[in-house]
This record gives sequence, structure tokens and C-alpha cells, in this order.
Amino acid sequence: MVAASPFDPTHAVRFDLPSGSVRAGGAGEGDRVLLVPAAALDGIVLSAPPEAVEALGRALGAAVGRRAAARMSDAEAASIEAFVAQLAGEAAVAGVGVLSVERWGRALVVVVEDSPLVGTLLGPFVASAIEAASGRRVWSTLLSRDERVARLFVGGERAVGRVRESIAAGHAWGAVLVKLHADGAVSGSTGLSHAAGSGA
Amino acid sequence: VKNGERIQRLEALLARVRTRAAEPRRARLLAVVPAVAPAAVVEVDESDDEATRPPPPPAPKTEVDLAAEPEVQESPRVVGGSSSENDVGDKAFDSQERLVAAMPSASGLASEPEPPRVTAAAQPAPVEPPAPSAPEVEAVVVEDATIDQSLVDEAPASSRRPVGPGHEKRIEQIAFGAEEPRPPLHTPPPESGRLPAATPVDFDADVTGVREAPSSPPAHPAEAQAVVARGQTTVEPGEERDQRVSAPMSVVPTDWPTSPPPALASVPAPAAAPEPPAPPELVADATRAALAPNDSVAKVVGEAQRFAPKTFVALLDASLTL
Repeated sequence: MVAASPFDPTHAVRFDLPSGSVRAGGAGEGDRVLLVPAAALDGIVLSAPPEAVEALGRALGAAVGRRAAARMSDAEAASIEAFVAQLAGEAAVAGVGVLSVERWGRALVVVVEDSPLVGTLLGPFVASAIEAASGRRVWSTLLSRDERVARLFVGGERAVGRVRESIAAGHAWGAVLVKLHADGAVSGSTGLSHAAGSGA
Repeated sequence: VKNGERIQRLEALLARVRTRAAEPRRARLLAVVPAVAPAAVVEVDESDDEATRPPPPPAPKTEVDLAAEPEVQESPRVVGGSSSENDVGDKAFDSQERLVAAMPSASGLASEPEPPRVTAAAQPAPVEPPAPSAPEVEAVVVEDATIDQSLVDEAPASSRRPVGPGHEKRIEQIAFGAEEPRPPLHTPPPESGRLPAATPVDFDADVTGVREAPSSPPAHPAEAQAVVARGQTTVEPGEERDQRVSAPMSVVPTDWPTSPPPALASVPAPAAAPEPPAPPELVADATRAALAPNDSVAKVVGEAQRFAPKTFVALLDASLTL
């Protein structure tokens, strides 16, 4: 088990002004990034088909997850706090918002605060980021969204599908999670556990 | 006069009345009676009813004559004739007939300017002999203020009467219909003049706090000095109003002693206003509960999470199994 280490933002983003390029990533060359206005992304989400929007979100999340995994020597052995710290750090550098994790029984819920991304982008972004950081194939769907906080459930494809249907039917997201545990013959209780990652 | 003569005269008078009652009515012309003859009585000769002659000297009247003569003969009369007065001879009537003919003229027609042919003759004029033509009199104006109205009969229905405004209004209503209804009358304006004084209102002095000042000067010098001390103005009864206005301070009667008697000087002056009572001091009456410590206060319902993943991947795997 790897001890939790704080996120080190030193040289997380490098601006090469003579060459006019921006690169993200602590070590090595890093990935070249582009400073895109958030309004431009909103325009794409509104005009592009759902598959294109999902692809865009996954691309953004994959980049963040890969950089977070690069910060962890062994992601498999990383604690919840350590994993969330690196992932939230990279998300903050990318300007996605403040990322944290809630544990509802056995259900994993990711909370993103003050994010400029719309809900249709946040789901693929979170799933792709965790997938790229952990090496597991995961799915994600939006549980709730208000002006400041967005909650997303992370799980298997079947569970995500059921949660999406229940949310679309108008059920509260808490009740949906409880029902999800009952249907899955969850042995553990549904107490809330919060594991917030430190951004910087 | 004997009774026989009296009876004969009465019979003659009765015959004359019957004769004249049987004759048809004719227009008569009034004779001008001299105003200077207060007791002029126009007596008509029984034989010649048309002629007019100067009145005979007054004879001693009998009881029958007095009864037959109306009282209106004492005052002067103004008799007017028409423009054809010269053509028509004056005729003398007895007083009773003259009154009957004069009533409508005196009441209504006298004020009408319409008949131009009626002229008033204030002075006595000689009686002209009657013309042979038929006499016509269109209007007669007789002004006699002393006529006893009780003795005058009412004018016949066919006589001339002034047309009053009521008839015109009635005709207009028939011809053009009724007028539009008048607007409702409003309250008449107030009459000019002195306005009545307002009713004195009694205010409760306990509520308003206004007290009446003593109208009479204080009976005692001590009270007078107390009044002066309060800044009130007291004036002697004989002073003028302007003097009271110009004098801000009071004038104390000079006959009063300047210093109060020793017995009264020791009496304390009444307080100007009672001091408000001091606010009561509030003391808290606290009630505290006696709580004893106890170890069995908390009771945990349910059980703690038994699922406690060590790594994020373990948590992720658990979530993937849902």
C-alpha cells in the first residue's frame, strides 16, 4: 500500500512562448495542450451529435487520467486518498474543477465542483479519467447537477444503465443507490463515506 | 212725517225698484261727482231715469233713506269716461249700481295700460246732457278707497280678468309639452350675518392634561407670588388689554403685603409636578435543572460500515460489481 502523497503541481504546465506551444505533464515532454475557451466547448456540445460529445469527453478525461497515473508509481496499490489526490490535481490543472470521491456503501460517486463542463461531457470525462488511471474499464452517469456541484456514479455497464433509467424516471439519486445495493445483494450497509482528494 | 206718508214713500220706492228690475240692462254712464261734495248722493228722479240733474239740497233723511244709502257715498269719487265721452252723455246711477260696476276696474283693470280711452277726471266737471245716440261705456274706473268690500258683489264669471301667467304656462304645456324636469334644488347658501357661536365642547382634563387657569386673582399673596413664579400674568381688573400685552410680568395688587405672614411662610409651596416613580428593579428568578451524569446517554442504532476498502482499486472493483 502506497502512502498518500500530496499533488505536486511544479511545472505541471509549460508554456513555450518562442514556439508558441503549451505542454502539460510533469516529466518529459508531456502532452501538448490547447487553451480552448469553455464557451467553444459548449458550442460543440450543443451542435455535435452525442457520440461526438462522448468522444470529446473521454478524450479530455483520458489525458487527465494518464497524467495522474504517471504521478503514481503503482496505481493498483494506491490508497483512495492518494489516488484521488493525483487525479484531482490533474483535473484542477486542466481546469475541469474540484474533483472528490464519495463512497455510498459499495458505490463509487465522484463529485465535481465548479466545473465548466456540461453534464454530457462530465460523464465520459470522469469515466475515462478513472479508467486511464486505474486500468479498469468503467462507466459513469450523472446522478445530479446544480449550479455548483455535479455527482456521478461510477460502476459497471449494467449498473450504470439501471441508475440512468431510475434517474430518468424521476427517482432521487440516493434512493437509486439504495435500490442498486438491494438489487445487487449488497452485504454492506449504505453509510456514506467521503474521500476527498486534495487539489494542490 | 206721518206714518201714512212714510208708507206711501215706501210703496213708491218699492214700485220703482220693481220697475227697474223689470227693465233690460243697459249700459250706464256714471256721472262725475264733485269731490268737494262729501255727502253727495246721486238721486235719480223716478220719472226720468236717463237724466242727470244736480243733486237737490240735502233733506233730512229718514230711517228708510239711511237704510237704502250705502256708506260709500261720503268719499269723493273719480269717474273716468271713454274717449267718446263727449258723445255719450253722463248718466247718474245710484250708489249701489256704481259700486257693482266699479269693482272690476278698481281691482284689475285700473292697472292695465290697455284702455286708452279711459281718462280720469279729478275735478268736477259739468254734467253734460245725454246724447240722443245709444250710450256706450266701455270702461269705468272708480277709485274709492272707502268702499266697503263686504257690500260689493263678486264680479260675474264673464267679466274681464287679467290673464295670469299660470294660464300661459298651462297653454305652453299643452302646446309644447311639459318642460324638462328641473334639477334638484340644492341646499340654499348660508344666510349672511353673524354666525352663531360654536357649541362649547367639554374636554376631559384628565385626558388632555389641560387645566383651566384661575380666573380671579389669587386671594392670598402667597398664591400670587406662586403665580408670578410660574410665569403667569395677572392683571388688575381695570387695566386695558394693550397694557396687558406690553407688560410681560404680572402686577400684584399694591395693598397686599410684600412678605407673607410668618405662619404662612413656612407652608411649603405645592410641587409643580409629581416626579415619576423610579423604575422597579428587575431581578431574575432562574430555574435550573439538576442533571446527573450518565454513561448510557448515547444509543447507536445499526452497525458501522463493514466495507472499508484499503485502495481505490478495491473500491472501484466493489462498485463495478454492483
